[in-house]
Amino acid sequence: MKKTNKFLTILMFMFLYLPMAVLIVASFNTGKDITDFEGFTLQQYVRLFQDDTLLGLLGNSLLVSILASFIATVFGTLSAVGINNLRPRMRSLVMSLTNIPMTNPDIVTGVSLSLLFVFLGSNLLGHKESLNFWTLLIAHVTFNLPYVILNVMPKLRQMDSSLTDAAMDLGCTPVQAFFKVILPEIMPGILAGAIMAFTMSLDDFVISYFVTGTGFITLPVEIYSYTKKPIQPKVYAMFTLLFGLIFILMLTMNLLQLRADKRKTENRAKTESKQMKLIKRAVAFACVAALLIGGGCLIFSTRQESITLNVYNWGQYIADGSDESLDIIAAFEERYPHIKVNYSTYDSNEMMYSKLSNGGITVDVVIPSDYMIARMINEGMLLELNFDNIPNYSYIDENFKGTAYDPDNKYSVPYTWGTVGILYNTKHVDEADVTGWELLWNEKYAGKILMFDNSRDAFGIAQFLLGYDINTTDKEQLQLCADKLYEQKPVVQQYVMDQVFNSMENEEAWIAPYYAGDCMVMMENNPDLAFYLPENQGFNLFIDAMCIPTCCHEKEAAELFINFLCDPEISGANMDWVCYSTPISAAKEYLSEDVVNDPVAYPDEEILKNGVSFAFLPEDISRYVEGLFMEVRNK
Amino acid sequence: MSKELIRLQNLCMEFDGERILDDINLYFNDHEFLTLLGPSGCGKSTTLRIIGGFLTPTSGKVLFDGKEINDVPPYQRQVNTVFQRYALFPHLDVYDNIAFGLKVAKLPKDEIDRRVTEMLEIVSLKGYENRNVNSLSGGQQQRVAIARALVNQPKVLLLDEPLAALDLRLRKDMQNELKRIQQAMGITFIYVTHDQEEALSMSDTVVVMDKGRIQQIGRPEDIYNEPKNAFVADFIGESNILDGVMLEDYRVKFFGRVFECVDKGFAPGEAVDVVIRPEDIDIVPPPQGHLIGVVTSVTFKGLNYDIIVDFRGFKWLIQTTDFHGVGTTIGIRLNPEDIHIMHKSEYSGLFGDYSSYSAEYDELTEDAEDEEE
Amino acid sequence: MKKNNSVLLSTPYILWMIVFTLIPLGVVGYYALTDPATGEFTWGNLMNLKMYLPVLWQSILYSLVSACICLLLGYPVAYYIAHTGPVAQKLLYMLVMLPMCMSFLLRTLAWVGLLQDTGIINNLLSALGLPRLQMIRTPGAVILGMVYNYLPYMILPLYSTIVKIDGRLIEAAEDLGCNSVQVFSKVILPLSVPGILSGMTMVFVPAVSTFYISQKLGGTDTVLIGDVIERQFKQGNNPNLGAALSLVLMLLVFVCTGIMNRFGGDEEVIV
Repeated sequence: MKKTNKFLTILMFMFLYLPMAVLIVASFNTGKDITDFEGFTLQQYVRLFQDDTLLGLLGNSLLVSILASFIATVFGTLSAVGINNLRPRMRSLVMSLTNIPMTNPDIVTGVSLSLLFVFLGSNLLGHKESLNFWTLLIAHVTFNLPYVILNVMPKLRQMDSSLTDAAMDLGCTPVQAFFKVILPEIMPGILAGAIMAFTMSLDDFVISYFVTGTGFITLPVEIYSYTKKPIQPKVYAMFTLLFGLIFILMLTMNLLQLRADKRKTENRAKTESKQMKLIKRAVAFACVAALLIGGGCLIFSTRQESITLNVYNWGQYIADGSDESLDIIAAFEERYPHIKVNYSTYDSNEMMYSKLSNGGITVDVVIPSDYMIARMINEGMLLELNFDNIPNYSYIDENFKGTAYDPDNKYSVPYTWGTVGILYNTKHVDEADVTGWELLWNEKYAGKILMFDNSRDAFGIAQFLLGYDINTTDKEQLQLCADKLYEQKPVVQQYVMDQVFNSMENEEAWIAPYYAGDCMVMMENNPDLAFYLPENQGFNLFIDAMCIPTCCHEKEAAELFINFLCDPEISGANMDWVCYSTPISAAKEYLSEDVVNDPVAYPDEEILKNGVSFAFLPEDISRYVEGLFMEVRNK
Repeated sequence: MSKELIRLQNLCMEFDGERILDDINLYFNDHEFLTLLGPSGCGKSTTLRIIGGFLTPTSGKVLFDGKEINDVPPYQRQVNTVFQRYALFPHLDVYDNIAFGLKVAKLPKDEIDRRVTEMLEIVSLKGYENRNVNSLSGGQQQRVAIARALVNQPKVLLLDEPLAALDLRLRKDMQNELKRIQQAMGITFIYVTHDQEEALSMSDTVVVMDKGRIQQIGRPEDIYNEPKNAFVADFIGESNILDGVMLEDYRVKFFGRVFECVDKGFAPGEAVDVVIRPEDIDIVPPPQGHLIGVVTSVTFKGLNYDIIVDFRGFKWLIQTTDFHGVGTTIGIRLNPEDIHIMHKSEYSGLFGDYSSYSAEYDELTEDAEDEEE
Repeated sequence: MKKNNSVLLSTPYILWMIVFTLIPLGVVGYYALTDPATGEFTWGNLMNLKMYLPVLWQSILYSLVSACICLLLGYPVAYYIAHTGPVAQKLLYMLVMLPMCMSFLLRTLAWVGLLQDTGIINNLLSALGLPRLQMIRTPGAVILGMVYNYLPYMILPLYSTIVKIDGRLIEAAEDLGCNSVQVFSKVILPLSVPGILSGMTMVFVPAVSTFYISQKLGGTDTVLIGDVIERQFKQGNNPNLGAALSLVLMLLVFVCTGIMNRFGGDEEVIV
């Protein structure tokens, strides 16, 4: 019996630690792919320490968790003393209140708090940016409090109630009695609660995910978005370092405690208490130091007399300095040193729209696609641009002006354009099957097909296949499209957006519809991939354009940024990396010949004629389509 | 009178190289109430746990009805235990606690019911069937523990300091109760305690143990009256223990004086320990006394006074009903039957001197012994 | 008099908890009962929930299965840890705790790397000349992810319950005729019920509401209720339906924990 238990225990630990071992090994990998160890390197660690953003996010996480656990510990301990003295019925009522965040699923807590903040912010305070650092802190304090209370309460209950009386009898004021008698007695509970609160806070993803805006993001929330994109191996390096740190911390804590226990049994109370005092002092010192550093960072970051520009863009949609490209944001910050860019990303127009319309965040520049721009104009979510601040607008080709979505050229400046086609793996997919959109329904490749995870693109494909107008408002046709998409579901591996990079490049999937520019990036990384444009059935021709939403705080800086991106030289350098097509002909000079001559990026005029753009859909139809797509996804 | 039931042969027990039991030889008769008595760490609980089957001896044999049972697991022995602090199952109520062993043995339901009800009556807990065991008082829990063991009709009941957690009054009541139950059921009780009074009042046979060895086996009266060595003399009641020399049969010399005594069989001129119980000493006016001393301390004990008397630098404890103030000079007389002679042992010189006597002494040692497992 | 003063210390806390836990739940209720487009009162969101019943059922099923697996795996481990020496106990306890402090997102992602068609396990298999297995995007993978992530939540309460069981109770049971199997079934198991229940709750609640695990390890048909909620808020732009779903999820969890507490008897209630 004991032997089987031992065996099971060893197996269980292997099970628990296997994935972590995989991550640690991956941090020393020269290649990018977690599944393929190409060689040993420490390069990822160097990159990690060069990456200010990643370190900054870690700093954010530490700041929030230290502050939140500190506040919760002080607040919770005092409250516990109060609760302990309540009458029994009241006390059990308060304790069940305390248990609500403990039993409630995180997602419900996150959702409810974010709704509260948005609701209060928009309805009562009239404040636009209601989701920020402070709301995140409040949320963390709220879910930390029960941990402190539930750890401190038992210690208080165990305590001899006449201790306080004895202290006061001997001349202590109630406050002195608290510090001299109660506090030392319940200290173990307080420490346990504080440590628990801190770790919960540091590792919290779900609640933070719902409560953060774009302004202040913690590491886990960022990691969530990383995991959709090709994950950067330096994240593994960070994981490894954190693992090592926590492991050593826990080990020393345990060893010190063991030694203290041993000493205790050996009756060397004096040396033991000295040691404990040292440990306590060290812990207290570490806490204070961390708090000061964290606070300092916060003050430093808010005190900079610079403007923070919140740019909200698609993932993988701006040159970031990797692969010898120009780091556009760094270049912008260099030219305008008083502006600091806070860059965050989204996966789809719908996700961006949800986030903006749910409210509570600040965004200064956003880059939606055509149909979404139309919708946002219609709903009054965009500001008119002041083109005096955007002189480079003159470089934009004439055929990208006066478009259907923004006929008067008031709200948007084109960023890129492109087509939607099918990316497939020539190793696994028979060329004979590559005949049109029906490839995405081909049962031969069941489980190897990816599909768009946004309603408009997904419905568009169904509409091309069924021969409907992609801008139809006919609910019957839309229902038929939904049926068609539902019919496709069994062969679909996953509904994805940016995750397509990973899956296609490492051949986890073989067929995926995607935007031409991204397809070119993937084809560069995996030469077996090929792009197909179903020119006969029709395809989507899209324009993504830069806009300023109504929740903008820094309109002039935003226009400066838009202008900067329209500089032909910048646009050229940018598109060289992004691989999408530029609406600025002058920029082609700065692009490599290969890209300019590539038919994927710049197809023939003849072919382009078959491309159709998405147009504005009335609000009720938009909602109807989204509802149908949710049904397809969730049924 | 009755046949032998359990025999321990050359039993030794070691933990981490430390010898806990050293060559124990002991037998237990049927229907006997036998007490293992000794201070904490003397090995009495270990002995009991070996009989119960919770420990396997390092060497030696445990025989039950003549058969070796060293390797028989506890659940196959015809022996049940009442644990120190009871070890009642907190997830079961009173009835289910008592019925536990019977249910394990898969007895028919009506028989379980009959026996549990009967047992509840014996331990006077009728009407408590469905009570949570944690809601019972110490004495009631104690009786549930006894009932739970006895309901299985074991041949031997082992009791490991069962009364240690009760207050004095309850302890006295339970002592009588236990004796009554033992006589009613007619089975063997093996009782472990560090309380000499408990041992003397309840037992048929007392086994005094110390340092893993048996010091003396005997009926309570014999143990008290004829202690075998200084340890037993001191542990059982109070004793003044003096160095003496046995001149010949019935004559012993101590304090420079020859006394008549009732002991014989010692080698002429053998150095011996002389035990004189404090309550046996008669106080007389100094001129008539065998010995003359000065009272140095007096403590009122209710029934009597404990007085400490200095005889040429050696302090005696004397119990008397008459008051003698500090500083009084008194004489004492010793009758031959008040003088007990013992062979010298490793304990000689360790006990029996009341120079540092204090009334708190007893209580302190008792507290310390409560810590024992 | 003095006691009354310290009672006042609890007032800010009570206010805080009302404002940041009770009222938000009220706001969720408010959203659940308003129309997303017009902002008027409607039962429509709650009516729509019918469609998501299969998803809800699937979530409950998956998380119950993983809670049971966690119990089966966790019990022997907790039992073993509780019965080793004090030093080993501390270290093993720490090793169970440690994964809980590391990013669960990355650890789940490591499973993707292990399980996917072109992943580590399949690469190993094909290197050994064995056929590749379809592991990822199956219900099994989702359950594995849940078991992996929440196993420590099962082991820790089990351990602390088992370690508290008085050794003399086991001796008492042996004394009363139990062999080792009976000792387990009649004494140890019933006495670990509180640990089992709190472990089951601690696994069930996060598992039933997860969305990350099913998104990463699941396929197109392993949609869970958490996925649907997340999608309503983050993509579907229908916070009202999301709120209605959250309400249902919350009720479900409260009913489940209520049932578990009922089974656990009064000991579970924290006063």
